[in-house]
Amino acid sequence: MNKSIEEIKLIDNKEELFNQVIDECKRSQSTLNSFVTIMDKYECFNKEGVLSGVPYSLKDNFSTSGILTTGSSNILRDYVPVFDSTVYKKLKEAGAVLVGKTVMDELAMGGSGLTGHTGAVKNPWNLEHIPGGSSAGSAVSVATGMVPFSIGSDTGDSVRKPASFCGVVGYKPTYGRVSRFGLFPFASSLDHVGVFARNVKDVAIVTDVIKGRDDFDMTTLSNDNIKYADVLDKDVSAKKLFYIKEIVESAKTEESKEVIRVFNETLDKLRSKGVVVQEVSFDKKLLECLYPIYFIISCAESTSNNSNLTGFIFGSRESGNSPEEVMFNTRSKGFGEMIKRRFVIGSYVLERENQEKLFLNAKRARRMIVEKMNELFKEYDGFVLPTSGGVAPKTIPNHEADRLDDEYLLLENHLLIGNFGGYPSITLPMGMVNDMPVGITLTCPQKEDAMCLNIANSIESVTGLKDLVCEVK
Amino acid sequence: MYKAVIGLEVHCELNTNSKMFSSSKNEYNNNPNVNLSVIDLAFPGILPLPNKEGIRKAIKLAMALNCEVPNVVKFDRKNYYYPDLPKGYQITQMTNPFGRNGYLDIEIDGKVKRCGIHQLHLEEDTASMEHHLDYSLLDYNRCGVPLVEIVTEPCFSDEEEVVQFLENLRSIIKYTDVSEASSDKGQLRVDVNISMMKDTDTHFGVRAEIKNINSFNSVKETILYEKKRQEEILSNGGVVIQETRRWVDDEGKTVGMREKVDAVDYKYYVEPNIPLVSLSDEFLSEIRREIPVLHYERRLKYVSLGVSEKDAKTLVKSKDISDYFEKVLELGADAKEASNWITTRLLGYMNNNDKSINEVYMTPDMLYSLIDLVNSGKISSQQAKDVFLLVLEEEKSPSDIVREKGMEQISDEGKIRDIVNKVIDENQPQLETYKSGKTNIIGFFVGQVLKASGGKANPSMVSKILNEEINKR
Amino acid sequence: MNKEYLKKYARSLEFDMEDSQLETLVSEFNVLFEQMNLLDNLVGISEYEPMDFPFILDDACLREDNVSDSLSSIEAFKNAKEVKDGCVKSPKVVA
Repeated sequence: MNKSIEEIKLIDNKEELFNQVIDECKRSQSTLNSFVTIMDKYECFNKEGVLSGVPYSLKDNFSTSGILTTGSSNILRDYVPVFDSTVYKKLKEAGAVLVGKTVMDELAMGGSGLTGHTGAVKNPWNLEHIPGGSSAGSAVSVATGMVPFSIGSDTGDSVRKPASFCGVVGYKPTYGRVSRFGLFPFASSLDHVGVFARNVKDVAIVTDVIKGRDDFDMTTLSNDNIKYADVLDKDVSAKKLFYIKEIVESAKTEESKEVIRVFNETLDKLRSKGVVVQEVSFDKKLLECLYPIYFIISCAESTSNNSNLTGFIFGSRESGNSPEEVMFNTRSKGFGEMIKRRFVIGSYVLERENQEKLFLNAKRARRMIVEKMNELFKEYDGFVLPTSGGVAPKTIPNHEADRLDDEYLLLENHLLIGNFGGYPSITLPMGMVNDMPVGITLTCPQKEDAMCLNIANSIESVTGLKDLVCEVK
Repeated sequence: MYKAVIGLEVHCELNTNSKMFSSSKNEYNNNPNVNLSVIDLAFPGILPLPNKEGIRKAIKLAMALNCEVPNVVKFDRKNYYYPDLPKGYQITQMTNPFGRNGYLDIEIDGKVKRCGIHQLHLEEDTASMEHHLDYSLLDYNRCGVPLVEIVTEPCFSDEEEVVQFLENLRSIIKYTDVSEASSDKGQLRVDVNISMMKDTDTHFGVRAEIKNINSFNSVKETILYEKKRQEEILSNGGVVIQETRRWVDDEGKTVGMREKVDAVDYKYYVEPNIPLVSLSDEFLSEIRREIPVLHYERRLKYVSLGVSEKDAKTLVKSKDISDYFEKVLELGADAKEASNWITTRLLGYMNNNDKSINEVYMTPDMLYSLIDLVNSGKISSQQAKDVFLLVLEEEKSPSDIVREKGMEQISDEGKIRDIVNKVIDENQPQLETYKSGKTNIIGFFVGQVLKASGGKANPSMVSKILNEEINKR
Repeated sequence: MNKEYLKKYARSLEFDMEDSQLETLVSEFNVLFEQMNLLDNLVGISEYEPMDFPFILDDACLREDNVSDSLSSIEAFKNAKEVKDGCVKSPKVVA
């Protein structure tokens, strides 16, 4: 089913639509495995809302009262929250209808879509390829047309990268634009709520519903009182963007050079709309630190954030003769191996004697990057880059994805800039390479969400790749 | 030979309405788990919401203890695993506490000793546990309650100083109304750090930490015990182990808990979910203005006004009683008189009737009025004692009582002269006795005149006029 | 950085790790140390303050001291596996 939000709103029998959607989701499970939980009842809490009757999926790290929320981790395999995340609450109030909770990388700590406790998620464009992560199931449920939109989370690119790999639009608003209350935290200073859809307008409509100041999240921004969906068509001819020379030049493989070719074509199309796009140089040494900064900060914050998972008040508690044993057995059995390694590293970098050279230096370097970027943003309205140096990678049997290695690919890590500075950042499809989608990512100054969606809308109009869909086979 | 070096860490539960990072009730309750919120229980996705009033009280106390106060709110995470800590970290302050480098003066042997306060910070309390034979029960009522921790310099050398300090500290805490500071309710807990050293030593000795002592008396006993224990070890050539101990009341000794290994690294880092909130000069000045004159200054003032040391100490024990006393002074009463009435009569009445000074019927105005009635000669001081009781029993003002009971003294000279003369006339034998030189018998005449006037004749006037008339005869 | 140390370290985080995982972790630590050097070698890094938040919120405000209704203990412990007398039950906590 490839329908936009507006098209769905015109349908009379929303409940019938819901049932069709549910069937499609269930049928897709054996091939794609995007869902942890599929709802069985149509529940619309507001028949007059902006999203009345519109079906959607929610990444399984958003708390939904009375509905299983696992974070795709064994330690939470039977956890049922007793409260709603703010995002879920707002969508309910707008009348949107939850179809299911989607599979993710365990506790959001991964970029492949392979580490969830209910198994790997597949890329609908080619089942031998990863969909990306950690919002894997969310990206796939939208890419296949099962739902018009999905909510994910983006800490280091977890909405924007899978969006590229799956050929959909993935938006990460400014930090604090959308409340994180009820979202399982990975790295609190980098976590963002994100939106997937097949076109920019739907992304804007949903963002308008879920954004806003929240008394339950002190880091949320005051309301900007702009309806993003209403300003998408503003003229962009005066806009000035840049791309980073060192990143584009780092393309070495056939595939990445093809991606750059598509990227350049897209830029030319954009220039025909009057947008200025210039090449800018950025300190390569600093760019090479993007991943280390992210890795160190996110591992550290994640260790602390997941210290509540001990089994006492909730969680898959194991037995033990002492409280320590209970915690030890619960955590040993409940966590996947990869995240245990992340926790050890995260804890190590926070030790008093290690903080200076590791944790604090990473935070200093973060500031260096953000300050340099803010300088550039004084002159430019945003920057664009290919989301990745290639299409979705192939899954390699017996190879552990997400293992830390020292191969550093500039083309793969620039999305982190959006997390470091909390910049609004959006991925949209720009073309196909080897029959798989490739995306372009636009990142704008802090709080300029309206402008970001406006320019993205223009990019979408010049690529002609609106509403790209890959139906379930 | 050995002298003790003692430092304290005092934990004080604040008396806010709600907890420090959530809006569940901050109230001691015998029933377990009745004051809970999702935030207290550390469910995945919750975010801390700092209590403005908790911050105000912490700053107020810091100011009352002469500390340097920051102009920004900053919290840190202290990470460790323990069943009473649901998040697996405690939100506390390490880098930017609400108080630094303060002091509290105490009087020891007539000399003033300045006790250094290293820092004062705000944090949250943990859950409480009830231990049974082979299991423990977790009660989260206390979890998240605001706690102020006051860390002193190691400036004490014996238990007398420590107890003085604690009593003065408790008084300041109650005067500034930041806590009820009830030891019974566990609202004030003391950790004692104690080591021994010889005069010739250049470094402090190895210290033991005795944690969670609930009463000042136990603190005193703990120090006495530890001094002896450590001195014994050292005198015999042994080594004191650096460890955590606890005071066992019914055995009258401290026992080792676990070795206080400095290797416990709490991996402190800035709490990322609480943005830096600026504290304006206005906000801080307002808090400072709320600090009342404290007990120490008040006691000095009362003594300078003629109140005895003992009575002054009694008056300042409670701010409410002290405020009451000061109101009576404001109205114009003599300090010694007002103090007498309060300390000898009012407090006794309050104790016997289990009433606080705010519940007792006699307001400062009424007490002043009573004193004034005596000073202006309208009633005698003997009558005043009766009026005092009647005011409290019948709940009427002193002037009403005097008027209703017709107790007004006769101060009219003419009237008294008449009564005097009548009494002299009726008591000729006694007159002869007087004239024969036994002038002591004038007491008899005074008594008779008072009796004849129903106790209402102004006694000093009676004396004067009696002397005049009897000498005329 | 060896496996024994890391195994003990994992223990302090309240979980166990398999031998093969510890081997992987050792090699990951080597990468971490390389990353540390990359950061340390950034020109001028020590002149920068560590960044705790992506930007400063000018209008951050504190919560008023109002009380909300409590979660019932039944709601609160719906997910707790061992509950007794209205409390979460733990094996004996030894001081």
